[in-house]
Amino acid sequence: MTAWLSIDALSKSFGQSIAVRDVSLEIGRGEFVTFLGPSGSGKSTLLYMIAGLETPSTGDIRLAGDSLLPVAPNLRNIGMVFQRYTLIPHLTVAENIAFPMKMRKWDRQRQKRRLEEMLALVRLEEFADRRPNALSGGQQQRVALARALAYEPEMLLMDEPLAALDQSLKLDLQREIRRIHDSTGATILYVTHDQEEAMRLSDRIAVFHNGTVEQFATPGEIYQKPGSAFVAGFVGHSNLLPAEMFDEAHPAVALAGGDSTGTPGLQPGKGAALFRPEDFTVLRSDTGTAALTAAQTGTITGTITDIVFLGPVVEILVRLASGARILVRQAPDLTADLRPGDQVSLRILRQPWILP
Amino acid sequence: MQTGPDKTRSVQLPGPAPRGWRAALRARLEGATATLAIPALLLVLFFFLLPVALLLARSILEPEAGLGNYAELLQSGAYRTVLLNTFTIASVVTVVTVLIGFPVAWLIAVSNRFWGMALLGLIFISMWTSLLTRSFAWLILLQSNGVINRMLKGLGLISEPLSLVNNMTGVVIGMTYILLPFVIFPLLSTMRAIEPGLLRAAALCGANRWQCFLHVFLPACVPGIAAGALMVFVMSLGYFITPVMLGGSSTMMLAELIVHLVQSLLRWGLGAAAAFILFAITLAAYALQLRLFDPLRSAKGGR
Amino acid sequence: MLLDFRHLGALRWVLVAIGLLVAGFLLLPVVFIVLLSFGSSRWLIFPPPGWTLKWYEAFFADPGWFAALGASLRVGLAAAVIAVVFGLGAALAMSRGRLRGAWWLHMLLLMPMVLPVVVLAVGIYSLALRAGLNDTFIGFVLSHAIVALPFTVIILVNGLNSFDPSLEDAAVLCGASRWRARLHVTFPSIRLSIITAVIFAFLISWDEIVISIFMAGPNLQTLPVKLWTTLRQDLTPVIAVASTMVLAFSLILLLIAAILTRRGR
Ligand SMILES: Nc1ncnc2c1ncn2[C@@H]1O[C@H](COP(=O)(O)OP(=O)(O)O)[C@@H](O)[C@H]1O
Ligand SMILES: [Mg+2]
Repeated sequence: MTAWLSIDALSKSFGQSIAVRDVSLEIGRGEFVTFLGPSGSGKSTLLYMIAGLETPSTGDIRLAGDSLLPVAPNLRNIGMVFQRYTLIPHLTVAENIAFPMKMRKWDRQRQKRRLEEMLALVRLEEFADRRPNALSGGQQQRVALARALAYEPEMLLMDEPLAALDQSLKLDLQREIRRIHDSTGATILYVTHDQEEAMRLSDRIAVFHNGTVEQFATPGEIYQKPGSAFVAGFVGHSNLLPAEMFDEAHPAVALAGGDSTGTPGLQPGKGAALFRPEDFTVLRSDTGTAALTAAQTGTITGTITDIVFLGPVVEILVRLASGARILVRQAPDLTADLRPGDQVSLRILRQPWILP
Repeated sequence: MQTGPDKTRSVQLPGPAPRGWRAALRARLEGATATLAIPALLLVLFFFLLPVALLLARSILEPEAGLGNYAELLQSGAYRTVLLNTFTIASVVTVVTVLIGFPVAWLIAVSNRFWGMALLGLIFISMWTSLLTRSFAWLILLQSNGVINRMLKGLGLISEPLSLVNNMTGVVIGMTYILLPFVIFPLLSTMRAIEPGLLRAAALCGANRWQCFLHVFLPACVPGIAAGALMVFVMSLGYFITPVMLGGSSTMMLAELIVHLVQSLLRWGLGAAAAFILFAITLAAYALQLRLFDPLRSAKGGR
Repeated sequence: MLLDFRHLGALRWVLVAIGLLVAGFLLLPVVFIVLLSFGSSRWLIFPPPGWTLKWYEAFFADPGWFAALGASLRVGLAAAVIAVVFGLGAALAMSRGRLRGAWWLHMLLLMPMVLPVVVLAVGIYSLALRAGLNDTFIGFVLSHAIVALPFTVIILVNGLNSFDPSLEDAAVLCGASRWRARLHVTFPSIRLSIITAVIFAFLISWDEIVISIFMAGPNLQTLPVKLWTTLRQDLTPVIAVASTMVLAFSLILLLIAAILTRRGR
């Protein structure tokens, strides 16, 4: 994908504190990109700079080659949905959606046509004459979405638009946003601190940490091949074990407990091996451990310290001999006979990812 | 969505720098929200800071340079009496307003919505209606043959009319009446902020009603009492209309002295010095209050 | 316990009694002055021997009183407009602009409220004598505006702070310029605060007396000044009429403010 929106060494400081430091991103046209990170990591600030509501301290933002910085926010042709409900309270739903068209002095016919399209797009036709305060939070955000899309902006920015909604409504609207993205082809920059939401929606995810982008990649890569310990920990649960590679001839990772596991295609050196909770099968040590051939994929032994039933999965906390703790997720029927205190072997199902 | 993107772009994005004086002016106005404070600042500069500075200058320059005016004010018996009057009256008014205001605020805090709002509305109205006309009403009411005296006589409580006006009694009644709201409002907001559970917990610990009042309720109200008392005290120090109208020649207060010196005697230096003493006392009191409560900082939160 | 009316025991009747007395104490002078203005006694005897409207006729027949009423209205309106427009600018700057000294600016703008008005009056008088502002419309208006400014600033800053700035930003991204966004979104949203600020600014000017005493001259005197000077010469029932007018006007405006606030909820 060729770069359409280029963010080039962008930084923003507020007095002493640096909110965004030296961020560079290349985003393709029509992409759905999510900025994911803990709160305070600079996601909104970056989004606001793209919108023109904040001025960068240094760096540049270019759209199709031209700098956006000299362009006033109202002329940038960008749509934005905020976390808080930002519908104009004294206007009806229809008037809110028509507001940007009015500001652009579209002719009446065009406004009317587009308004109907938009109401249909967000499925709020029968609410056209309501005031915002007569709508639920989810409906208000849908109107905000329609308003942001009404004038066919080149880019849609969303700053945690679903953060204030409850879980089931969130899922509905996520599906709707995805559908709108697919049907309009709009470029969407989406901010969230919810990793599941980011996974569900995005083509690519930029993971933010302390004002910098730690990794910018597809959801699959972010999860399976995180670029740093922070990304590994922020997206999904990570079990990190110190690892050492012997050499290329014997591609294997030595784990703290003394077990080793073969890992082809890795460079020699020290690192940390990442295991996801679903990367193991738990076996009672007294049942058929002998059958396992440790040489192939490896096993780790430890003691169960806690078992939590979560419905679809059971979470098992295992303490290794080295003192490290490992969280394992299993289907409930596989764990029926396990109790805290049991000695278990963890059979490793996948090669671990070695963090750089 | 991206129909004819290049067309819209060329329409939507003007050149890098807005050109022409109109565009430049618009950019200026857009960016400079902070400059919107300038008119208000100028007004404060010319009609507040400058007059105060002028007064300070005159107080130390007229009739001759030095602190002579301040020395005269603090040494002359007549002026010291005025200062003493001012502090005495302000203190008495403060005590009386707190004593009356406390039960009223308490009543509003415990009464139902309707009665609470009614009483509060009444207090609010008296805060925002003419002080002059209401002081005038008291002048008529308190006269020796006024309604109050005749009522008391009619009830057989007195045989001779009490002298209720043109003396300190009149001033205290009038100023209590005017300043009562200023102690009720802070008290009420303090009382409303008290956690009811606090009192319930005290009761469960075995405290009777009186102990509860003395050891829990009253201490919790202290910030409100302090804020209200300070407010009333400071406001009374500088009162002009009510004391002039309801007081007599022996109850002259600082504000009246200032006006008298400036307007009748044309002794600007001395009047300015007196004004400045009043200003300094007021400022000190508010600084103290700000130290203790700082309403602005807490109200603005993290902004 | 102590904050629950039903659990106060006998104490509640003590509180109610004090409340009634204080309510009477607050109402008495206002009711009294209104009744007095209709009384027929030249010497302000109460209760009056009869009821009459002749003092009202005298009030409106006297060009002096009528001129003072007009002056009060004009000065009040102009002072209110200035205090609100300037106050709105300052409030926008403090709550929206990136102002480093916002806290100090806020304090400075509130200062005229805490300064004893008599000090301000003497200071402004001293300045006005030099600048030739005494006895002029503009002198009255600006000196009243400075007293009203702190109140308008408080009301408008509150209004702006309870209004989410993202709404204005959203409108800007919809294509409105900053000022259009304010005009279409911000100002309509805080219109209640703006109207309230106008009303209270007017009321402050309407009741202002101490500065006005110094500002007034043969050309221009407001109603309170005329009341004050008349009062010191002669206690006539016309004063009660003028007082009633002053009170009635204030009450009407307060009522409007109350209704607006209630509707805004
Ligand atoms: N207007 C501002 N003034 C000062 N600091 C700010 C401002 N906006 C954001 N910050 C700071 O910048 C950092 C990043 O904030 P933000 O971009 O809002 O984070 P996120 O959206 O990832 O939660 C935070 O530490 C925040 O306190
Ligand atoms: Mg944010």
